[in-house]
Amino acid sequence: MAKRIDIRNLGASYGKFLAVSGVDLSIEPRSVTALIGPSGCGKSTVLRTLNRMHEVVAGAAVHGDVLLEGESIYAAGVDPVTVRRSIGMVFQRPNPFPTMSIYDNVVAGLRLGGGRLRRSVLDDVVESSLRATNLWKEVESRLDRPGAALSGGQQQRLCIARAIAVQPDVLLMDEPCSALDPISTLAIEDLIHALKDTYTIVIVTHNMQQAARVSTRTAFFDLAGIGEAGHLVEVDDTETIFSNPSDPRTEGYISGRFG
Amino acid sequence: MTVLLHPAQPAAPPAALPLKSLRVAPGRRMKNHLATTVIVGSFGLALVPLVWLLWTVAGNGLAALTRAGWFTRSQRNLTYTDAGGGAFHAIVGTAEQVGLCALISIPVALMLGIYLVEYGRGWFARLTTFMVDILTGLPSIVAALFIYAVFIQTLGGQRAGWLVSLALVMLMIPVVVRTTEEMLRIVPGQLREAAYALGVPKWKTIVRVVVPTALNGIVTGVVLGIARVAGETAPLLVLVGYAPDTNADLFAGPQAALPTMINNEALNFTTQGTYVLGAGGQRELVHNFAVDRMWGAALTLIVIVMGLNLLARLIGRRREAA
Amino acid sequence: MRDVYHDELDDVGRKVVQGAHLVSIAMDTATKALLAGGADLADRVVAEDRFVDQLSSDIEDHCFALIAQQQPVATDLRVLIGSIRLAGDLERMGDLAGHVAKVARRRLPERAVPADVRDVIAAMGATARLLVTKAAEVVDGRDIELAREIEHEDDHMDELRRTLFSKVLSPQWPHGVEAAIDLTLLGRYYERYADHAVAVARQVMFIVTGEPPAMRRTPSSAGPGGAVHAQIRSSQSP
Repeated sequence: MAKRIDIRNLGASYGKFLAVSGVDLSIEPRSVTALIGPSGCGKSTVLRTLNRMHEVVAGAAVHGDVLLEGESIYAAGVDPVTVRRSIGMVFQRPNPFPTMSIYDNVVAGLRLGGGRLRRSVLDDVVESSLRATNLWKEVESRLDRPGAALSGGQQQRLCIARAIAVQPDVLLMDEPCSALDPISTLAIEDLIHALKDTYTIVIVTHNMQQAARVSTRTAFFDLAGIGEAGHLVEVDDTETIFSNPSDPRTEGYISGRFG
Repeated sequence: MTVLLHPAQPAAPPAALPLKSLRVAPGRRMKNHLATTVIVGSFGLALVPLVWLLWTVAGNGLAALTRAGWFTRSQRNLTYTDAGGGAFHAIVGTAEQVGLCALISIPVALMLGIYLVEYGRGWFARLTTFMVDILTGLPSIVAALFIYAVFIQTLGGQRAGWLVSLALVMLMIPVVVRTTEEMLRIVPGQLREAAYALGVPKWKTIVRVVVPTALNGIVTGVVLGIARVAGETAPLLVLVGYAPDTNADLFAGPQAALPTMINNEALNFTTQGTYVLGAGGQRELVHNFAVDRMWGAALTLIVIVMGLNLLARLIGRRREAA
Repeated sequence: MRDVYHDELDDVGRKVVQGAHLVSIAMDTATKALLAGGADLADRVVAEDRFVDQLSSDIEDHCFALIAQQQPVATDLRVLIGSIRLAGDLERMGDLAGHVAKVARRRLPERAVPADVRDVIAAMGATARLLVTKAAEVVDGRDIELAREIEHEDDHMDELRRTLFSKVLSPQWPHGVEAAIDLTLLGRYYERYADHAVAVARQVMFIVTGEPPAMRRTPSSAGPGGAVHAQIRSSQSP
């Protein structure tokens, strides 16, 4: 189910402004890859190009290519909607649908993605997704309550459950813990660890220690200067990046000497 | 364990403000009282005409409303000196005209609002917004004259209730479009993003996520629009006239409506006594029922609109609790 | 950024250099006490070893606190881990100097070192000083080339120890068992001292390059047991 992603000479721009360019990166299936770097270096932009969310913004454009298990997702005739069903995304701020119950939230992707599924099938999906995100025990007695009536950490886990309910091949996470307290953050990190064996996960994070704890590979992005495009500086096994990085800029960033 | 002291000691803080007391300074307290008085006073002042109005209308109209037959009988064969009768014909007329108007306006305005918020880019959207802005200020008589010119003069039609609906459509759409736009814009972009990220197509996101989230506000906007057009009198006068009988046919013949009933009765309103020629050729003082009916119709109109408002709130509360 | 943290890292480095100087002086003084006599010299070395122990303990505590509070990564982490190991090596070096001084003290007023092996012991003392001085330089300047040179100096120390052993173990050894034991122990102390100095240099290489300190290279420096067997066999061969 988990697929590999190959990024080839990727660039992304908003109108005339080039946010990031020349990115070459391979992401193995069933791994967690962390994208780190200072603000404005383009890591979130790169993440959003992986599921074609970047082009939702008016005037945004993508150059280069992204391959999902060898197939280009930017080829002519590829439907972005289909791409997004295989490549799911979890955002920085938890965003459960406010008019839907917890149950409806989890199956929203299945229901709205088309196709009528029997109630029993949906029940199973809800239970397995919520169990996978360690939320089942907390909410099994109130599945019909509104999704927004949960705490921040629970809401984020609900959003993750919603994302995995459609059984994507890849899971993208854009700073999933930055709006959460430390306990919830650790809960999500444990969850990522558990999901690692089933999905390919790419996570953007500002928290160095989180990247070190959670990921198998780490990619460091940097800016040449203010207003310049971001680029990929170094990508390697997380242990190597955090014990002996090759590039002095990487060393400087992770030691807190700049950025 | 040796730990370095923090290097430079910070510069000495500026001379502290004398802290005479922790109590609120008297000047501030007075200003606070003054501001509170002014604001509460303004609120009270603004409330006065509203309360006065309701009191006057309710006081004068309740008698007519509570009489038997008000809601079931029309003014057929009744003059202003005859007792009895009701507002049924006017209620039917208003309901039908406003109903047809709503039937046309609501889908159009909703789709226009959705277009302007979700899809509109470039010159066409800007032009549309501009047009909607102009229409918001359109006087009702102008709308009425326009419909008259097109449908009666040019196309040779007859005065009828449906033409009023068309004029009301021109008045209702801008109001509903504006509020729909506002309510849709309030829906956070993250919700749309969450839906897109799940692989939901854009149109489905709008229909199943965005609009339901904004629905309470949109319903309020619709009710506001109805409230605005239900009381418009100029289109009625120009396009459909008045009839004391009940006419349920929107497409033929004069039809009564609550505003024109008020108007009709008002024509017979006088503060001086009303006299008729008695049997013996004497002038007899009789009761002028036009007054009651006038206020009664006004109160009926207010009650209907308020009822719709309460209905909208109830629907909203049910949805939130569900 | 994080000035206080970087100052504290530099502070740790300074303490390590200071420690290297302390153990250098200690071994020098102990060698002098050994060769030239002087109870007060020997006593001083033994007494002042506590400063080395205290410094070593300080370094470890400081590194521990920085690791707990600052989440260091990459070079900073290697500096701190390396410094903890260095502190251990320095403490052992101080103890070894103390042992040499105790040997000197115990045999007084006689000389612990007979005349015919004096030059060997002196050479070992000189080599030890050279090694520890270079090691201090390596710590201070993080010079990798210098670190590699130290490995060669260590070979020289091993040579000297083999020479000493062959003399002690030769059938013509005239000075008796007690002296033989003392000289064996002294040889061992100097050799271990040199090994620790090399370990210090290797830790610095680890800090700079990130490669883990290499395994011990040759079986000749594999410890006295193997060396003694080799000596016995060679001396017994006709």
